[in-house]
Amino acid sequence: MKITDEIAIGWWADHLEGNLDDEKLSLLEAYLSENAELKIELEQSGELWSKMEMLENPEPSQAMDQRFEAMLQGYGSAHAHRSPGFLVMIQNWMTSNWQAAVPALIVGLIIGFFLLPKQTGEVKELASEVQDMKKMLMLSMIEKPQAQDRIMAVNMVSEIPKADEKITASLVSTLNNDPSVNVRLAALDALMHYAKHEYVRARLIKSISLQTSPLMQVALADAMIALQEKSAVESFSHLLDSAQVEESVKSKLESTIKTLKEI
Amino acid sequence: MDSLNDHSIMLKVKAGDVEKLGLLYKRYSRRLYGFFYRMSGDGALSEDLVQNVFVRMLKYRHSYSEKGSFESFVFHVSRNVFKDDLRKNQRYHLQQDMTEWEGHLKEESNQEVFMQKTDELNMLHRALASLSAENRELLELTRFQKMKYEKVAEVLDISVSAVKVRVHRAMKALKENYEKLDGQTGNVVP
Repeated sequence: MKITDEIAIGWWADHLEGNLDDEKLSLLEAYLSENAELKIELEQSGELWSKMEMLENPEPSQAMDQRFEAMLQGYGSAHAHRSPGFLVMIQNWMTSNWQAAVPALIVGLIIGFFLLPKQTGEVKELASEVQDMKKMLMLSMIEKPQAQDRIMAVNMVSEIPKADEKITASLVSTLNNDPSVNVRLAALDALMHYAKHEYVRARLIKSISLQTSPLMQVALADAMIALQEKSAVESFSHLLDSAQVEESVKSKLESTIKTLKEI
Repeated sequence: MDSLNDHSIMLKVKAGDVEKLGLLYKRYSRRLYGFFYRMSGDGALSEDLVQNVFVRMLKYRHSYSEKGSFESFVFHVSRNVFKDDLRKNQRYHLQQDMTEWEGHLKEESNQEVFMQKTDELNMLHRALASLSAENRELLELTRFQKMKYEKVAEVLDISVSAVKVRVHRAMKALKENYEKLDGQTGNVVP
Protein backbone atom coordinates (compact mmCIF):
# COMPACT_ATOMS: atom_id res chain seq x y z
CA MET A 1 0.00 0.00 0.00
CA LYS A 2 1.35 3.37 -1.00
CA ILE A 3 1.28 5.82 1.87
CA THR A 4 0.76 9.51 1.22
CA ASP A 5 0.99 12.46 3.61
CA GLU A 6 -2.79 12.46 3.82
CA ILE A 7 -2.94 8.80 4.85
CA ALA A 8 -0.11 9.34 7.35
CA ILE A 9 -2.00 12.28 8.90
CA GLY A 10 -5.13 10.15 9.20
CA TRP A 11 -3.23 7.27 10.78
CA TRP A 12 -1.48 9.65 13.16
CA ALA A 13 -4.88 10.90 14.31
CA ASP A 14 -6.02 7.29 14.82
CA HIS A 15 -2.79 6.55 16.66
CA LEU A 16 -3.39 9.44 19.08
CA GLU A 17 -6.83 8.02 19.76
CA GLY A 18 -5.31 4.55 20.27
CA ASN A 19 -7.14 3.17 17.24
CA LEU A 20 -4.23 2.17 14.99
CA ASP A 21 -3.24 -1.48 14.65
CA ASP A 22 0.40 -2.56 14.92
CA GLU A 23 0.83 -3.26 11.24
CA LYS A 24 -0.24 0.27 10.25
CA LEU A 25 1.74 1.76 13.09
CA SER A 26 4.98 0.23 11.83
CA LEU A 27 4.15 1.38 8.28
CA LEU A 28 3.49 4.87 9.63
CA GLU A 29 6.75 4.92 11.58
CA ALA A 30 8.68 3.81 8.50
CA TYR A 31 7.01 6.52 6.42
CA LEU A 32 7.70 9.24 8.97
CA SER A 33 11.32 8.24 9.34
CA GLU A 34 11.69 9.04 5.65
CA ASN A 35 9.62 12.25 5.90
CA ALA A 36 11.27 14.13 8.70
CA GLU A 37 9.42 17.37 8.01
CA LEU A 38 5.97 15.81 8.41
CA LYS A 39 7.17 13.94 11.48
CA ILE A 40 8.27 17.16 13.18
CA GLU A 41 5.02 18.83 12.17
CA LEU A 42 2.94 16.03 13.67
CA GLU A 43 4.95 15.89 16.86
CA GLN A 44 4.76 19.62 17.40
CA SER A 45 1.02 19.56 16.75
CA GLY A 46 0.76 16.79 19.32
CA GLU A 47 2.52 18.92 21.93
CA LEU A 48 0.24 21.86 21.28
CA TRP A 49 -2.77 19.53 21.33
CA SER A 50 -1.81 18.42 24.85
CA LYS A 51 -1.20 21.98 25.93
CA MET A 52 -4.74 22.89 24.90
CA GLU A 53 -5.97 20.59 27.65
CA MET A 54 -4.73 23.16 30.15
CA LEU A 55 -6.96 25.92 28.83
CA GLU A 56 -9.76 26.54 31.25
CA ASN A 57 -13.30 25.96 30.25
CA PRO A 58 -15.48 29.06 30.31
CA GLU A 59 -18.41 28.94 32.73
CA PRO A 60 -21.74 30.62 32.13
CA SER A 61 -23.55 32.64 34.79
CA GLN A 62 -26.33 31.13 36.89
CA ALA A 63 -28.77 33.35 35.07
CA MET A 64 -28.46 31.09 32.04
CA ASP A 65 -29.84 28.10 33.96
CA GLN A 66 -32.63 30.17 35.47
CA ARG A 67 -33.64 31.45 32.09
CA PHE A 68 -33.72 27.95 30.68
CA GLU A 69 -35.87 26.67 33.54
CA ALA A 70 -38.27 29.57 33.13
CA MET A 71 -38.47 28.91 29.40
CA LEU A 72 -39.14 25.20 29.89
CA GLN A 73 -41.75 25.82 32.57
CA GLY A 74 -43.46 28.43 30.44
CA TYR A 75 -43.47 26.12 27.47
CA GLY A 76 -44.74 23.16 29.50
CA SER A 77 -47.58 25.04 31.17
CA ALA A 78 -48.58 26.80 27.95
CA HIS A 79 -49.00 23.42 26.30
CA ALA A 80 -50.55 21.63 29.26
CA HIS A 81 -53.32 24.18 29.84
CA ARG A 82 -54.39 24.78 26.33
CA SER A 83 -57.33 23.07 24.62
CA PRO A 84 -57.69 19.96 26.86
CA GLY A 85 -58.21 22.19 29.94
CA PHE A 86 -60.90 24.14 28.18
CA LEU A 87 -62.67 20.98 27.03
CA VAL A 88 -62.61 19.51 30.53
CA MET A 89 -64.14 22.73 31.86
CA ILE A 90 -67.00 22.53 29.38
CA GLN A 91 -67.53 18.86 30.14
CA ASN A 92 -67.72 19.53 33.87
CA TRP A 93 -70.15 22.38 33.34
CA MET A 94 -72.36 20.24 31.10
CA THR A 95 -72.61 17.38 33.61
CA SER A 96 -73.47 19.67 36.49
CA ASN A 97 -75.94 21.75 34.44
CA TRP A 98 -77.50 19.08 32.23
CA GLN A 99 -80.77 21.01 32.06
CA ALA A 100 -78.91 23.65 30.14
CA ALA A 101 -77.38 21.08 27.79
CA VAL A 102 -80.42 20.80 25.50
CA PRO A 103 -80.80 24.56 24.83
CA ALA A 104 -77.03 24.71 24.46
CA LEU A 105 -77.27 22.03 21.78
CA ILE A 106 -79.97 24.00 19.97
CA VAL A 107 -77.90 27.17 20.16
CA GLY A 108 -74.96 25.19 18.83
CA LEU A 109 -77.01 23.92 15.92
CA ILE A 110 -78.18 27.43 15.05
CA ILE A 111 -74.66 28.79 15.19
CA GLY A 112 -73.53 25.84 13.10
CA PHE A 113 -76.26 26.54 10.58
CA PHE A 114 -75.08 30.13 10.17
CA LEU A 115 -71.47 29.12 10.01
CA LEU A 116 -72.06 26.48 7.37
CA PRO A 117 -72.26 28.77 4.31
CA LYS A 118 -68.98 30.34 5.44
CA GLN A 119 -67.35 26.94 5.45
CA THR A 120 -68.58 26.12 1.96
CA GLY A 121 -67.09 29.47 0.96
CA GLU A 122 -63.77 28.28 2.28
CA VAL A 123 -64.13 24.99 0.44
CA LYS A 124 -64.85 26.90 -2.74
CA GLU A 125 -61.79 29.03 -2.20
CA LEU A 126 -59.70 25.91 -1.66
CA ALA A 127 -61.10 24.31 -4.79
CA SER A 128 -60.27 27.39 -6.84
CA GLU A 129 -56.74 27.31 -5.45
CA VAL A 130 -56.42 23.69 -6.56
CA GLN A 131 -57.69 24.71 -9.98
CA ASP A 132 -55.09 27.47 -10.16
CA MET A 133 -52.38 25.00 -9.28
CA LYS A 134 -53.59 22.62 -11.97
CA LYS A 135 -53.49 25.45 -14.47
CA MET A 136 -49.96 26.35 -13.50
CA LEU A 137 -48.91 22.72 -13.74
CA MET A 138 -50.56 22.38 -17.12
CA LEU A 139 -48.90 25.51 -18.46
CA SER A 140 -45.47 24.40 -17.29
CA MET A 141 -45.86 20.83 -18.51
CA ILE A 142 -46.90 21.90 -21.97
CA GLU A 143 -43.42 23.37 -22.42
CA LYS A 144 -41.66 20.08 -21.63
CA PRO A 145 -39.47 18.47 -24.30
CA GLN A 146 -41.11 15.02 -24.00
CA ALA A 147 -44.20 14.63 -26.20
CA GLN A 148 -45.68 12.31 -23.58
CA ASP A 149 -45.55 15.10 -20.98
CA ARG A 150 -47.13 17.56 -23.36
CA ILE A 151 -49.99 15.14 -24.11
CA MET A 152 -50.51 14.74 -20.38
CA ALA A 153 -50.61 18.51 -20.01
CA VAL A 154 -53.18 18.83 -22.77
CA ASN A 155 -55.31 16.08 -21.23
CA MET A 156 -55.20 17.87 -17.88
CA VAL A 157 -57.34 20.59 -19.40
CA SER A 158 -60.39 18.33 -19.07
CA GLU A 159 -59.91 18.54 -15.27
CA ILE A 160 -60.09 22.33 -15.39
CA PRO A 161 -63.76 23.27 -15.68
CA LYS A 162 -63.25 26.91 -16.58
CA ALA A 163 -60.38 27.43 -18.93
CA ASP A 164 -59.12 30.98 -19.19
CA GLU A 165 -57.50 32.78 -22.08
CA LYS A 166 -54.04 31.68 -21.06
CA ILE A 167 -55.00 28.02 -21.25
CA THR A 168 -56.82 28.29 -24.57
CA ALA A 169 -54.04 30.41 -26.05
CA SER A 170 -51.46 27.82 -25.05
CA LEU A 171 -53.64 25.06 -26.50
CA VAL A 172 -54.00 26.96 -29.78
CA SER A 173 -50.26 27.50 -29.92
CA THR A 174 -49.73 23.78 -29.31
CA LEU A 175 -52.30 22.95 -31.99
CA ASN A 176 -50.45 25.02 -34.57
CA ASN A 177 -46.82 24.62 -33.60
CA ASP A 178 -46.16 21.40 -31.71
CA PRO A 179 -43.76 19.14 -33.65
CA SER A 180 -45.67 15.98 -32.61
CA VAL A 181 -48.90 15.12 -34.44
CA ASN A 182 -50.14 13.22 -31.40
CA VAL A 183 -49.83 16.30 -29.22
CA ARG A 184 -51.53 18.44 -31.84
CA LEU A 185 -54.42 15.94 -32.06
CA ALA A 186 -54.76 15.99 -28.27
CA ALA A 187 -54.77 19.80 -28.31
CA LEU A 188 -57.55 19.79 -30.92
CA ASP A 189 -59.53 17.38 -28.79
CA ALA A 190 -59.08 19.61 -25.73
CA LEU A 191 -60.02 22.75 -27.64
CA MET A 192 -63.25 21.14 -28.81
CA HIS A 193 -64.48 21.38 -25.19
CA TYR A 194 -64.30 25.17 -25.46
CA ALA A 195 -65.61 25.44 -29.00
CA LYS A 196 -68.64 27.38 -27.81
CA HIS A 197 -66.34 30.37 -27.41
CA GLU A 198 -66.10 32.46 -30.54
CA TYR A 199 -62.36 32.99 -30.01
CA VAL A 200 -61.68 29.25 -29.96
CA ARG A 201 -63.80 28.60 -33.04
CA ALA A 202 -62.03 31.32 -34.99
CA ARG A 203 -58.64 29.87 -34.03
CA LEU A 204 -59.71 26.38 -35.09
CA ILE A 205 -60.77 27.66 -38.50
CA LYS A 206 -57.54 29.58 -38.87
CA SER A 207 -55.60 26.45 -38.00
CA ILE A 208 -56.98 24.64 -41.08
CA SER A 209 -54.64 26.49 -43.39
CA LEU A 210 -51.67 25.92 -41.07
CA GLN A 211 -51.84 22.14 -40.85
CA THR A 212 -49.73 20.13 -43.27
CA SER A 213 -50.22 16.69 -41.74
CA PRO A 214 -53.03 14.68 -43.41
CA LEU A 215 -54.08 13.34 -40.02
CA MET A 216 -54.62 16.85 -38.69
CA GLN A 217 -56.42 17.95 -41.81
CA VAL A 218 -58.87 15.05 -41.52
CA ALA A 219 -59.31 15.62 -37.78
CA LEU A 220 -60.08 19.31 -38.35
CA ALA A 221 -62.55 18.40 -41.08
CA ASP A 222 -64.37 16.10 -38.65
CA ALA A 223 -64.24 18.76 -35.98
CA MET A 224 -65.81 21.38 -38.24
CA ILE A 225 -68.63 19.02 -39.15
CA ALA A 226 -69.20 18.27 -35.47
CA LEU A 227 -69.35 22.00 -34.79
CA GLN A 228 -71.44 22.63 -37.90
CA GLU A 229 -69.14 25.49 -38.72
CA LYS A 230 -70.13 26.78 -42.12
CA SER A 231 -67.50 29.49 -42.18
CA ALA A 232 -64.82 26.81 -42.42
CA VAL A 233 -65.81 26.08 -46.03
CA GLU A 234 -63.64 28.84 -47.38
CA SER A 235 -60.58 27.65 -45.50
CA PHE A 236 -61.05 24.08 -46.70
CA SER A 237 -61.49 25.30 -50.29
CA HIS A 238 -58.23 27.22 -50.07
CA LEU A 239 -56.55 24.17 -48.63
CA LEU A 240 -57.83 21.99 -51.46
CA ASP A 241 -56.42 24.40 -54.02
CA SER A 242 -53.04 24.55 -52.35
CA ALA A 243 -50.32 22.00 -52.79
CA GLN A 244 -50.47 21.06 -49.10
CA VAL A 245 -53.04 18.33 -49.55
CA GLU A 246 -52.30 14.71 -50.34
CA GLU A 247 -54.48 12.83 -52.80
CA SER A 248 -55.91 10.58 -50.10
CA VAL A 249 -57.22 13.57 -48.12
CA LYS A 250 -58.71 15.44 -51.06
CA SER A 251 -61.92 13.39 -51.25
CA LYS A 252 -62.40 13.73 -47.50
CA LEU A 253 -62.12 17.49 -47.75
CA GLU A 254 -64.48 17.63 -50.70
CA SER A 255 -67.11 15.67 -48.81
CA THR A 256 -66.59 17.90 -45.78
CA ILE A 257 -67.15 21.03 -47.85
CA LYS A 258 -70.26 19.46 -49.28
CA THR A 259 -71.62 18.53 -45.88
CA LEU A 260 -70.88 21.96 -44.43
CA LYS A 261 -72.60 23.72 -47.31
CA GLU A 262 -75.72 21.62 -46.79
CA ILE A 263 -76.03 22.53 -43.11
CA MET B 1 -23.99 4.47 26.17
CA ASP B 2 -24.37 8.09 27.09
CA SER B 3 -25.34 9.08 23.62
CA LEU B 4 -27.86 6.22 23.56
CA ASN B 5 -29.40 7.69 26.66
CA ASP B 6 -29.36 11.18 25.21
CA HIS B 7 -31.03 9.80 22.13
CA SER B 8 -33.78 8.02 24.05
CA ILE B 9 -34.36 11.13 26.17
CA MET B 10 -34.70 13.24 23.05
CA LEU B 11 -37.17 10.71 21.64
CA LYS B 12 -39.26 11.21 24.78
CA VAL B 13 -39.09 14.96 24.30
CA LYS B 14 -40.18 14.40 20.74
CA ALA B 15 -43.12 12.30 21.95
CA GLY B 16 -44.31 15.22 24.09
CA ASP B 17 -42.50 14.78 27.40
CA VAL B 18 -40.87 18.21 27.12
CA GLU B 19 -39.82 18.26 30.78
CA LYS B 20 -37.11 15.75 29.87
CA LEU B 21 -35.34 18.48 27.96
CA GLY B 22 -34.03 19.62 31.36
CA LEU B 23 -31.85 16.49 31.52
CA LEU B 24 -30.34 17.22 28.15
CA TYR B 25 -29.77 20.80 29.20
CA LYS B 26 -27.82 19.60 32.24
CA ARG B 27 -25.64 17.39 30.09
CA TYR B 28 -25.00 19.77 27.24
CA SER B 29 -25.45 23.39 28.32
CA ARG B 30 -21.84 23.80 29.52
CA ARG B 31 -20.42 22.19 26.43
CA LEU B 32 -22.54 24.37 24.20
CA TYR B 33 -21.64 27.45 26.17
CA GLY B 34 -17.96 26.59 25.62
CA PHE B 35 -18.62 26.08 21.92
CA PHE B 36 -20.30 29.46 21.49
CA TYR B 37 -17.87 31.22 23.76
CA ARG B 38 -14.82 30.02 21.90
CA MET B 39 -16.50 30.75 18.57
CA SER B 40 -17.67 34.26 19.43
CA GLY B 41 -15.57 35.43 22.38
CA ASP B 42 -18.73 36.93 23.89
CA GLY B 43 -20.07 35.51 27.17
CA ALA B 44 -23.49 37.14 27.24
CA LEU B 45 -24.14 36.29 23.61
CA SER B 46 -23.09 32.67 24.23
CA GLU B 47 -25.70 32.36 26.97
CA ASP B 48 -28.37 33.64 24.60
CA LEU B 49 -27.30 31.23 21.92
CA VAL B 50 -27.40 28.24 24.28
CA GLN B 51 -30.98 29.21 25.11
CA ASN B 52 -31.76 29.52 21.39
CA VAL B 53 -30.46 26.00 20.76
CA PHE B 54 -32.86 24.53 23.32
CA VAL B 55 -35.77 26.63 22.13
CA ARG B 56 -35.08 25.43 18.62
CA MET B 57 -34.86 21.84 19.81
CA LEU B 58 -38.31 22.17 21.35
CA LYS B 59 -39.74 23.86 18.32
CA TYR B 60 -38.39 21.35 15.83
CA ARG B 61 -38.45 18.27 18.06
CA HIS B 62 -40.81 16.52 15.65
CA SER B 63 -38.10 16.49 13.01
CA TYR B 64 -35.59 14.72 15.27
CA SER B 65 -34.49 11.54 13.52
CA GLU B 66 -35.27 8.21 15.18
CA LYS B 67 -31.96 6.83 14.00
CA GLY B 68 -29.62 9.76 14.50
CA SER B 69 -27.04 10.58 17.15
CA PHE B 70 -28.08 13.25 19.61
CA GLU B 71 -24.59 14.70 19.87
CA SER B 72 -24.38 15.25 16.12
CA PHE B 73 -27.88 16.68 16.15
CA VAL B 74 -27.23 19.16 18.95
CA PHE B 75 -24.04 20.46 17.36
CA HIS B 76 -25.73 20.64 14.00
CA VAL B 77 -28.44 22.82 15.54
CA SER B 78 -25.81 24.88 17.38
CA ARG B 79 -23.87 25.59 14.21
CA ASN B 80 -27.06 26.78 12.54
CA VAL B 81 -27.97 28.96 15.52
CA PHE B 82 -24.50 30.49 15.43
CA LYS B 83 -24.58 31.08 11.68
CA ASP B 84 -28.07 32.61 11.82
CA ASP B 85 -27.04 34.97 14.58
CA LEU B 86 -23.92 35.93 12.69
CA ARG B 87 -25.96 36.65 9.59
CA LYS B 88 -28.58 38.63 11.45
CA ASN B 89 -26.39 40.74 13.62
CA GLN B 90 -22.89 40.74 12.18
CA ARG B 91 -21.77 41.21 15.76
CA TYR B 92 -18.29 39.84 15.45
CA HIS B 93 -15.72 39.37 12.73
CA LEU B 94 -14.73 35.83 11.96
CA GLN B 95 -11.15 36.76 11.37
CA GLN B 96 -10.31 39.08 14.13
CA ASP B 97 -7.48 41.44 14.09
CA MET B 98 -5.04 40.68 16.88
CA THR B 99 -4.96 44.18 18.33
CA GLU B 100 -8.72 44.20 18.51
CA TRP B 101 -8.69 40.82 20.18
CA GLU B 102 -6.16 41.96 22.79
CA GLY B 103 -8.41 44.78 23.90
CA HIS B 104 -11.34 42.42 23.96
CA LEU B 105 -9.44 39.95 26.12
CA LYS B 106 -8.49 42.57 28.69
CA GLU B 107 -12.06 43.70 28.98
CA GLU B 108 -13.52 40.24 29.32
CA SER B 109 -10.97 39.06 31.85
CA ASN B 110 -12.56 41.43 34.34
CA GLN B 111 -16.10 40.32 33.90
CA GLU B 112 -15.84 36.71 32.75
CA VAL B 113 -14.49 33.58 34.32
CA PHE B 114 -12.24 32.74 31.44
CA MET B 115 -9.01 33.89 33.15
CA GLN B 116 -5.75 32.67 31.81
CA LYS B 117 -3.28 31.72 34.50
CA THR B 118 -0.02 31.94 32.66
CA ASP B 119 1.35 33.96 29.77
CA GLU B 120 1.84 30.79 27.82
CA LEU B 121 -1.79 29.78 28.04
CA ASN B 122 -2.85 33.32 27.43
CA MET B 123 -0.87 33.24 24.22
CA LEU B 124 -2.36 29.91 23.21
CA HIS B 125 -5.80 31.33 23.83
CA ARG B 126 -5.04 34.31 21.66
CA ALA B 127 -3.55 32.13 18.94
CA LEU B 128 -6.80 30.12 18.92
CA ALA B 129 -8.94 33.22 18.82
CA SER B 130 -7.10 34.52 15.79
CA LEU B 131 -7.76 31.39 13.70
CA SER B 132 -10.40 31.46 10.97
CA ALA B 133 -13.89 30.45 12.10
CA GLU B 134 -13.59 27.18 10.15
CA ASN B 135 -10.32 26.22 11.81
CA ARG B 136 -11.56 27.28 15.22
CA GLU B 137 -14.72 25.25 14.80
CA LEU B 138 -12.75 22.14 13.82
CA LEU B 139 -10.50 22.37 16.87
CA GLU B 140 -13.48 23.22 19.02
CA LEU B 141 -15.35 20.08 18.03
CA THR B 142 -12.42 17.67 17.98
CA ARG B 143 -10.31 19.01 20.84
CA PHE B 144 -12.56 20.83 23.27
CA GLN B 145 -15.79 18.94 22.69
CA LYS B 146 -13.78 15.71 22.35
CA MET B 147 -16.04 14.48 19.60
CA LYS B 148 -14.99 11.46 17.57
CA TYR B 149 -13.85 12.20 14.04
CA GLU B 150 -16.82 10.23 12.71
CA LYS B 151 -19.27 12.46 14.59
CA VAL B 152 -17.50 15.63 13.48
CA ALA B 153 -17.67 14.35 9.91
CA GLU B 154 -21.43 13.91 10.36
CA VAL B 155 -21.87 17.42 11.74
CA LEU B 156 -19.77 19.06 9.04
CA ASP B 157 -21.06 16.74 6.32
CA ILE B 158 -17.58 15.82 5.05
CA SER B 159 -15.57 12.58 5.05
CA VAL B 160 -13.70 11.36 8.11
CA SER B 161 -10.35 11.55 6.33
CA ALA B 162 -11.13 15.13 5.30
CA VAL B 163 -11.77 15.97 8.98
CA LYS B 164 -8.38 14.53 9.96
CA VAL B 165 -6.50 16.44 7.29
CA ARG B 166 -8.33 19.68 8.10
CA VAL B 167 -7.63 19.28 11.80
CA HIS B 168 -3.96 18.81 10.96
CA ARG B 169 -3.97 22.01 8.90
CA ALA B 170 -5.78 23.88 11.64
CA MET B 171 -3.18 22.73 14.16
CA LYS B 172 -0.43 23.87 11.82
CA ALA B 173 -2.02 27.31 11.58
CA LEU B 174 -2.41 27.40 15.35
CA LYS B 175 1.24 26.51 15.86
CA GLU B 176 2.33 29.27 13.46
CA ASN B 177 0.18 31.82 15.30
CA TYR B 178 1.49 30.65 18.61
CA GLU B 179 5.10 30.97 17.51
CA LYS B 180 4.47 34.39 16.03
CA LEU B 181 2.90 35.62 19.25
CA ASP B 182 5.80 34.13 21.16
CA GLY B 183 8.30 36.03 19.03
CA GLN B 184 5.83 38.89 18.37
CA THR B 185 6.74 38.85 14.68
CA GLY B 186 4.83 38.49 11.46
CA ASN B 187 1.12 38.28 10.85
CA VAL B 188 -1.11 35.64 12.31
CA VAL B 189 -2.66 32.93 10.14
CA PRO B 190 -6.44 32.91 10.13
